[in-house]
Amino acid sequence: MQLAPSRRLPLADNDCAPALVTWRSLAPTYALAALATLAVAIFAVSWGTVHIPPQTTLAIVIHHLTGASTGEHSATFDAIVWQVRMPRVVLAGMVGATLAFSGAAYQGVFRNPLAEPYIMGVAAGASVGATLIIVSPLYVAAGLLSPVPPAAFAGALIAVALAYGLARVGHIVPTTSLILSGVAVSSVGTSLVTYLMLAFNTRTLAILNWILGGFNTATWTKAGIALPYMLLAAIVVLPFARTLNVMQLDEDQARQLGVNTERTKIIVLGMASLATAAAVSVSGLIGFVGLIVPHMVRMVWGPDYRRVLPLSGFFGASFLIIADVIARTIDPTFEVPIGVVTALVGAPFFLYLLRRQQRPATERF
Amino acid sequence: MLAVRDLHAGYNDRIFLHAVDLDVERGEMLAVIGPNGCGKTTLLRVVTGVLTPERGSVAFDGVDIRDMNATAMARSVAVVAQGASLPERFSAFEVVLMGRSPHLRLLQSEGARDIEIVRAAMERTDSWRLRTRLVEELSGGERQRVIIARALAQEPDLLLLDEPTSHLDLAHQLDAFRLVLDLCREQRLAVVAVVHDLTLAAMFADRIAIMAGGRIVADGTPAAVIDASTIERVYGCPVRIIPHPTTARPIVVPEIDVPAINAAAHCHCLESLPLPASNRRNDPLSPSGRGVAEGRGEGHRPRPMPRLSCSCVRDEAAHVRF
Repeated sequence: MQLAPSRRLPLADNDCAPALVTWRSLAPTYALAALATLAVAIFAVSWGTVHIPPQTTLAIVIHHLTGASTGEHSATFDAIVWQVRMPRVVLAGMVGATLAFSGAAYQGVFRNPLAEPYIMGVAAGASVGATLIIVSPLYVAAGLLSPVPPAAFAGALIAVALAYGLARVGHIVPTTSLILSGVAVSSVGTSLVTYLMLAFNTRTLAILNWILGGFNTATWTKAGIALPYMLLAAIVVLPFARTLNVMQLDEDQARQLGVNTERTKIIVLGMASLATAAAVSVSGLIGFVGLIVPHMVRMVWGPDYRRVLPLSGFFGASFLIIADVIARTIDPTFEVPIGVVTALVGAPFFLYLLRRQQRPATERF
Repeated sequence: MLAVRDLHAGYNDRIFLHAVDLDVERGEMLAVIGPNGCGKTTLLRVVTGVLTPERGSVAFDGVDIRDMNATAMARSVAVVAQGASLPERFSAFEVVLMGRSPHLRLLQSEGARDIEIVRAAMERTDSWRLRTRLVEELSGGERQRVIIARALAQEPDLLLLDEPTSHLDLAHQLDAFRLVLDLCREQRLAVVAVVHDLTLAAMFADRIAIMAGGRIVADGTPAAVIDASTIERVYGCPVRIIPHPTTARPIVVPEIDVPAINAAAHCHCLESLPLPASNRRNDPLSPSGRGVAEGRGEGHRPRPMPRLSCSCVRDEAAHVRF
C-alpha cells in the first residue's frame, strides 16, 4: 500500500486559495472508506476453518438483510455466515470503530497524542464492575442474561464520572487534572481487580478471560445492545469536529475564538466515554486501537477532525475486524487474545508510519 | 468602544485589579505598561471574558460582556497573545481560517465569503504567500503575522495584544507594531496592547496607561505619562527620559551603575562580520575602504583583534562583543 506522504501541500506558485474542507467535499472520502470497510467485513466473514467464497457470503448477507432471494445456499453456510461469523465481525467492527473514534475525540479534547479511550478510567471501572459480578454468586458463565456487561458498563461510567468530579475546580475542569485524576482512578480500579483475582482464585481465569477481551462470545443481541450508545456518540460528537480543530490551538485561544470549551469538553468526553463503556462491556479491554488508529489517520489525511473522526471510525472497524480474523485463524488449536494481535500487528505498522513522519523536513517537502 | 468601569477582579479571593477605569475608542491605540504582576494580563483576561470580574463592568459599545456569549465576544474582540501555541500539521491558511469560527454555526463549514475575508487578512499582513506552509515551519515573525491575520479574520472591533512582540527581533517588533497601528487606523480598530518595552509603547501608542499594584496610576499621551518620576516610582529603578531624535517621543533609559567594559575583551567590529552585500553598501558605520584590504567578504572572517587596536573604537555601537 502506497501511503500518501504526510501533508504534501501544493506550493504557493499560483494565487489560488487552498481547497476548503467541507462536509460535502469529504463525502466521497467517507463513501470510499465505508466501502473499504464493508469489503474487509465480507472477506473476514468468508475467512476461517471453513472457507466460504466471498460472493456466497455477500449473497447470504444480502438475502438476510433484504429478504430478497439470492439463490440456493447450503444451510451450513447460511448458519456459519449469519449465526456465527457475521455477529462476530459486526461486533468487532462496531467496537473497533468506537474505540478509534473515541480515541480521536479524547486526543482532540486533551490535545495530547497519548490520550486514548481508557485514559479517564473507563477500562479500570469496567474491569471492577465485571470482576465484582464474576466473583459474586450472581455469575452465570455465559448466556444472554449474563449480568457482566451491564455491570462493566456501570463500572466504566462510575469511574469516568469520578475522574471528572475529582478534576473539577469550580466550574472549570482543567485537562491536565482530568488526565491525572483518570490515571489515579484507573490505578485504584486496577488494584481492586488484582486483589479480587487473588482473593477469589477459582475465578481468576474467568476474570482474566474477560479482561483480555475478544469476540468469541459475540451475538447479534450483544451488537444490538451496544449499537445505540455508539450511534448516539457518533451523532453527537461529529458536529463538534470543526470546534475540535479550533481547540487544537489551546484552551485560551479557543475560548477567544468563541468556543465554549467547558461545554465541548463535557459533551465530547461524555459521549466518547459512554460509547467506550458500551464497547468495553461487550468485548473486554482491547488496547491499542484507540491510541494508534487516529494517529495513522492523521499521518495520512492530516489533522482536520472532519477527516480524523469519521475515518478513524472506519479504519478502526477494519483494523479490529482484521485483527479478529488473525486471532481466530492463526492458531487452529487456540484462539489468540485479540489484544495481543492488535499490539503485534499495530505497533510495527505504527512505528513504520512514525519513522516516515520523522524524516527531516527537507526530505519531505 | 471599550468601556471598563470600576473593575475589581482576581483569582481565588485575592483581588488583583482595583477600581480600574479605562476607555478606548475605535481607531485608537492604547498601550498598557507596568511592572510584572501589576495586573496587566489579569485586565486582558477580564476583557476577553476568560475571568469574571468581582465588581464593576466591561462593556463593548454599551453592551455588558456578561450579556454576551463566547461567540458574540469573539466577533467583537480578537486576541494576539505572546507566544501563542499553534497546532502542528495545520497550514497557515487553516489556522487563519479558524478566525472565522465565531461566525459559523456548529455544523457549518467555511465558505467562499470566508475565503475572501481570510485572503484579505492574509494579504494585508503579508502572509498570503505562507498559506500552504505548515505552521511549525514558520519563523517567529511569520507566525506572529499569521496570528494577526487570524485576529483580523474574526472581523473584530477591538484587538487585544498581550506582549505581541516579546520574542521577536528588533526589525520584526517594529514591523508588527507598524502593522497593528496601520490596521488600527485603516479598519477603525480599537487596540489595547500590553507591552513591556517602554520605548516601543511610547513609539507607537496614541495613549499609554501605566498600571501598578492592580490600579491604573497614569493614563494619557506618551509625552504626558512617561516621565522620570512616574517610571521610577512604578518600576523602582532610576531612569532618565530622552526624546527620540526624530519623533521626539520619549525614550526611557535606565540610570544604572554599569561596571566598565573589560578592556581586555576582544571584539569584532562590524567591518569584520560578513554582512550581506546590500547591507554593507548602505552601512553608515563602515568606514569606506577599510577592511577590504584585510580580505573581508567571501565569508572570510579575520581574526579577532584586541579591542584597543580596533579601528572603529570611536563608535561603541559599532562593536559586537563576544
